[in-house]
Amino acid sequence: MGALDYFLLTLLFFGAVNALQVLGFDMQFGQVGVVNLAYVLLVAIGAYATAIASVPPAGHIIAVTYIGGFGWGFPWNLLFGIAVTVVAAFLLSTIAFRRLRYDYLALVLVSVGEAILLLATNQTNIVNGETGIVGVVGPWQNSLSNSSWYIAMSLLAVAFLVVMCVFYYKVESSPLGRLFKGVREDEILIDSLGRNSARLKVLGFLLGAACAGLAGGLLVLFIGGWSVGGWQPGETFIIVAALILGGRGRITGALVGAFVLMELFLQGGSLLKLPVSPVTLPIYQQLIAGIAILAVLWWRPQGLFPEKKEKFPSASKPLKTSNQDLAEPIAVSGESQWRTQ
Amino acid sequence: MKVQDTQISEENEVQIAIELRDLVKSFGGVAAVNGVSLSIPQGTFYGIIGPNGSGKTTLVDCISGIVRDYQGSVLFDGTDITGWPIHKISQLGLLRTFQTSRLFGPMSTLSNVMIAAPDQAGEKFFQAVFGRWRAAQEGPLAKARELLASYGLSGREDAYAAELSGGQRRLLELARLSIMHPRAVLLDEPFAGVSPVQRAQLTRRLRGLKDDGITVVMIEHRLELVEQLCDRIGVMAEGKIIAEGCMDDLRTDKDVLSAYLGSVGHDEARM
Repeated sequence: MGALDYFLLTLLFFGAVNALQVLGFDMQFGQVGVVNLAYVLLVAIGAYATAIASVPPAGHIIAVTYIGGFGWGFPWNLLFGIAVTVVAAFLLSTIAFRRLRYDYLALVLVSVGEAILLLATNQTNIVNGETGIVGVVGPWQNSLSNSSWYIAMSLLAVAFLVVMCVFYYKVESSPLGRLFKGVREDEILIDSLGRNSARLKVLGFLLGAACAGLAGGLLVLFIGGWSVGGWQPGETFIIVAALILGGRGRITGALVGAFVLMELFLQGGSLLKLPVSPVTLPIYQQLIAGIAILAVLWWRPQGLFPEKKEKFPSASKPLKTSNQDLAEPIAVSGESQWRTQ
Repeated sequence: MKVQDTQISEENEVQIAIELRDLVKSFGGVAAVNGVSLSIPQGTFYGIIGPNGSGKTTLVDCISGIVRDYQGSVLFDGTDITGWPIHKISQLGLLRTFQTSRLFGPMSTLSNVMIAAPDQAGEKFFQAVFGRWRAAQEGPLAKARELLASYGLSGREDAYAAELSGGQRRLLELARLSIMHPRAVLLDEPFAGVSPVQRAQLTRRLRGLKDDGITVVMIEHRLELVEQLCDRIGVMAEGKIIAEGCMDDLRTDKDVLSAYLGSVGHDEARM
């Protein structure tokens, strides 16, 4: 296999993982309306937890300190990563969701994300500080040849993406999905219809978190390690830009947004051999993401693939309409002497 | 003789749907609702009128659970619902509409009714992903279409709710309430933004609610509509119910005149 094949397989893997990330963010933002500007924190928790589940305890290596180290293989390490992310998201939601309007909630989530990033960077005994956790062995990595392993990992990521798309579709098109969108539009109105909007919002948030944890876990299994450099705040910004570009509340929107922005512009851009150093590359990537957001919001605010109206089976027979309602004369009496408006 | 008396008194005993006991709600030291006690019998169409800022909407917010940190108590059909969250109160069958119509704008008219249909299969996570909920949708869907037709909205079932006119929006709100089989409804200015033609249609629909035995509490400024619809009317001013009765009684009540017209009205009333 040549260098281009490796590059394309890497693109395929990252394409699938990026799409998973955007899909998870769409479940939170597009479905239940949580502007989670700390989304990449959930990806990082999934990655760290998968890494901790995969590597042996820290005592084996000098000057490396982290919590845990279980030495589990695939799929238990990945499942552990997803489970930890969902639990963390639940704790986050219980702290942050209480009585906060969506804009304040977004600010709180940014603050929590920043605080945890600083903690993970400076408190070296949690996830080994800035250096992070390395030495994660991917599934079948020791038994397959390098090229076969690249193919296997790419297919694994694509398979997970397909499963999550089916899962997302089932939720989105169900009465639960209808309620999710109702929560996004008006929480008080949903409550007034006898549904618990707070519970629905947390559920949507957790489903998105599971997707983020899966994406983070797959990333660490492919890369072999994870450090604070992988979840800077700008990463969330790119995911937000991808979803706004593609269109929220719809699978196609999330997939197209992830592909166009994260694959074509950001990953694919490296094919062009731009005269940009690796240090300044992220700055240009964020610049592209910013321009994409502005352009879409200006010309097509609903995104490339806007949310579709819910389709119902057509009525089997025409229902009797009360045309007489419209035909009847106005029965309202004259103005009152006390009219106050 | 005594037995006969007891039977008569039981027959005459009125079931109270909504009971408020000394309700007080203050915002920053200002009492928006200031010691309201009220009993609304089942099946009554009760109107609440009063000048702007008299506490009508706050009162309805307290009853419906939007505002929960108030003093006093609220009972619905004998159940103490004081401090209950709005979704629990709605589940009991006490529903409400809002001062400005609240719809899910980016959803279709039909979806706006379907979202309210109670006990639907597929609303729980595992049902939605693994269950066969589509067949169970037929019942609520037929009911929703029937309601839209009866509210004159069947031709608009695929339109976005945000595209509807003011009157159609109010009718859609009522259709949405109706699919939830309410026992009582609180309507906050249901005629606001409604054209004269649709006002007549809405009036008929509101009468229909009463005919179905539903207790209706309506805040409204248009007194001719209140007079047409309501069995009993409460007048609010400065957070209190200052008078109760039918419109003819209230027209000559000097406190009511004073609340609406100020001291001039009071003087006129004395004259």
